[in-house]
Amino acid sequence: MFELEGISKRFGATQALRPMDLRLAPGRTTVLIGPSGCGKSTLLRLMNGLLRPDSGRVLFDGQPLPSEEAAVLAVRQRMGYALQGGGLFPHLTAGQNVDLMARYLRWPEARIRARLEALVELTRFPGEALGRFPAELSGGQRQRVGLMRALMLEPDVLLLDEPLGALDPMVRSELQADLRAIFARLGKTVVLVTHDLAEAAFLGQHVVLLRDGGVVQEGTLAELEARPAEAFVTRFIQAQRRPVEGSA
Amino acid sequence: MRALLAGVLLALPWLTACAPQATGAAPEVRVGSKKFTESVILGELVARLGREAGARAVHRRELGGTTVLWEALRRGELDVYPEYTGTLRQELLAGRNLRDDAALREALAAEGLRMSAPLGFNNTYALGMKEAEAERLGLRRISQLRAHPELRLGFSNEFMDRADGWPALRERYQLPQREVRGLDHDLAYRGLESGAIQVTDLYSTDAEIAAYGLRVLEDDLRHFPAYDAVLLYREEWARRNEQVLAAILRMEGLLSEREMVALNARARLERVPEPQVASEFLARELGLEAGVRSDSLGSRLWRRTREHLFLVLVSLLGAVAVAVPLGVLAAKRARVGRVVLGLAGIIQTVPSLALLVVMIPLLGIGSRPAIVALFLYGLLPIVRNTAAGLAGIPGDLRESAEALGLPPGARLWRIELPLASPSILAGIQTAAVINVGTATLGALIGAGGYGQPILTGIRLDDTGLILEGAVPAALLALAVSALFEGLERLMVPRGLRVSQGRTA
Repeated sequence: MFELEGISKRFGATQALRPMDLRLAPGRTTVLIGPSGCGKSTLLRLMNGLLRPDSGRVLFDGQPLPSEEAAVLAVRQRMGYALQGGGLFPHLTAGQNVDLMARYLRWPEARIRARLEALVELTRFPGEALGRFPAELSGGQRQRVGLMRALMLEPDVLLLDEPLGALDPMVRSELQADLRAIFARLGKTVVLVTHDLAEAAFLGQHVVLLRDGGVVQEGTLAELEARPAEAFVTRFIQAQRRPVEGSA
Repeated sequence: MRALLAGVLLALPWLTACAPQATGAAPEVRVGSKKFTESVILGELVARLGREAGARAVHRRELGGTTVLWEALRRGELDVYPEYTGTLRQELLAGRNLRDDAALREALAAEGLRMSAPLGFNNTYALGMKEAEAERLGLRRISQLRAHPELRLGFSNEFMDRADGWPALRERYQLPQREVRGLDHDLAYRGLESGAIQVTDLYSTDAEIAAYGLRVLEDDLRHFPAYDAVLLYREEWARRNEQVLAAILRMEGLLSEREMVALNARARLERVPEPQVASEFLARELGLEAGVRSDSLGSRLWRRTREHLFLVLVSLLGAVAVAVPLGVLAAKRARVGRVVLGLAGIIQTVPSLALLVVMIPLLGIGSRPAIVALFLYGLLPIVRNTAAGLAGIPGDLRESAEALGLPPGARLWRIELPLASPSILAGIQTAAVINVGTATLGALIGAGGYGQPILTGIRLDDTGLILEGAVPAALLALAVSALFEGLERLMVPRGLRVSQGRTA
């Protein structure tokens, strides 16, 4: 679905991403993981063209991301995007946030309504809360609205940046379960950024571990554990496991 | 010659082209007056005589300065106004060295203007003493002061400094007095009263001459330039309105200095409104039927409210229409933004009075220049708040809008402007409240509004009149502020107010 060829990105003096190649197969959930500042969010933003690579190119569905603004916008409508906290527009109700793009594209009213109903059911969002403003929703509800908004146009891929980052543990684990069910039901290509290994293992089939702007290793978590490419892989896995086991 | 004059008067050549012309039909006379009592009374006399001759007369009273009137007359926005020959020689046509009235007339004719015969009084600098004191010493003429070196003299600071003031006067008359001090003009009258000083400078038609019982000493060596009162009018208007002109010119020679002092005193000291002062005089001198149409307080207030609101609303709407797009531009393009904000900031620092006066050669007198000035003042708060409101939108919202695939125009309309709306509205509110206050200065250039009674009140030292303008202006500012609170409820998206409530 995504092919990244020799892409690199630099912000001022910081090399956010070193030149790399990466291929993400369609229909599965890929998790970009690594310590903060490793470049995982930058990588995600290169995929939907929010950022432009300094070198190399990004292919989406076999086509390079276009360079003109208008064409990129059209491609983005095929990529759902949700970020930490939902990124909801405070002046629009939950429902208006979700159907903003559909209305802009002049979808027929019936189609919008049908899609909204399907999404409410899919994300287990209380339908009556669609009329509320983001400030009147709980953190978990906001995240569900963000997800619905990302899914509204029935995109080919779903890009999620730390979607569960700001939630308390109870809500978080509930949403994790829901997300997994949703991913399974949709069977779409999902790219998820997280720094939480347990979440990565729970939600993703394919894990890409990054450090200092480069890919350290990719594969299933089992592969990473069994055949670590370098000592950092083991250290990263251990570091996230230990406190959980210690308290158990 | 013409070009030189234009240069002297700071008039731009292309401006004269667009002077509005009255349409034939009913005769009309538009009268102007300066912002001191004597000029207002004269203006009122002209207007009444014009009306008597069947013309529709408009009196634009207390305009903010000699140049304002002169320019308005030249541009054809006024037909007549009272002026002084000295002012014409020393200020308006300075540097032309016009020795006599014939030369003056010739210079005016080149401007398409004409001048009446003197109205009869000369309002120039003069020296005055208490009548009793002058009588006791047998003083009638300035030259007689030479024989009394012991007299205590007190002059206004301006008179002490002016080249044609005290230094030249002493030289001309060879005055021997040693005890001469400078003091405030108003204090001079009290000084005379208490005997602290015995001679002071005054204008020969000051109302105080009557009030304090002063004798004006004759300028027997003709030291002071003549400031004969005359009427200036437009040749072109005069040709079309001969009858009206004839009626107005009945004022020629009608007003002696003593008469003018009395009229000034009646208005300034007895607080009789100028229209009534004028009416009484014409009834007495020319047997014209006295009839003063006086507005009730309510209708005056209503008229001024309309004038004031007109100034504020038109200028504000214009400012919003221009400043919001400029603010958007400033937020999107950093370099353009700095230039726009810098320019708007510079406009804001121009004193309002100066800005108003600068507008006159461009736009004449009345509400137009006032509206343009207010419009310019309204720009900065709105541009700044629009730019700040847009810049203050959190990064994740910006990114979300972009990631959804909304094009820039839709992002602006559907996301950015609504999110910035509280800030933009606050900017418009600031501009509106500033404009309500600043619009009071519009009266200085004939735009009317609440500034008119304030101006008259200051001139007559009448607190009641000042309040008649100041109180409604303050109330209007409060009302405008309250209106915007209400507008905020209507226009700022509810979701923003909810979140504000939460985070506050």
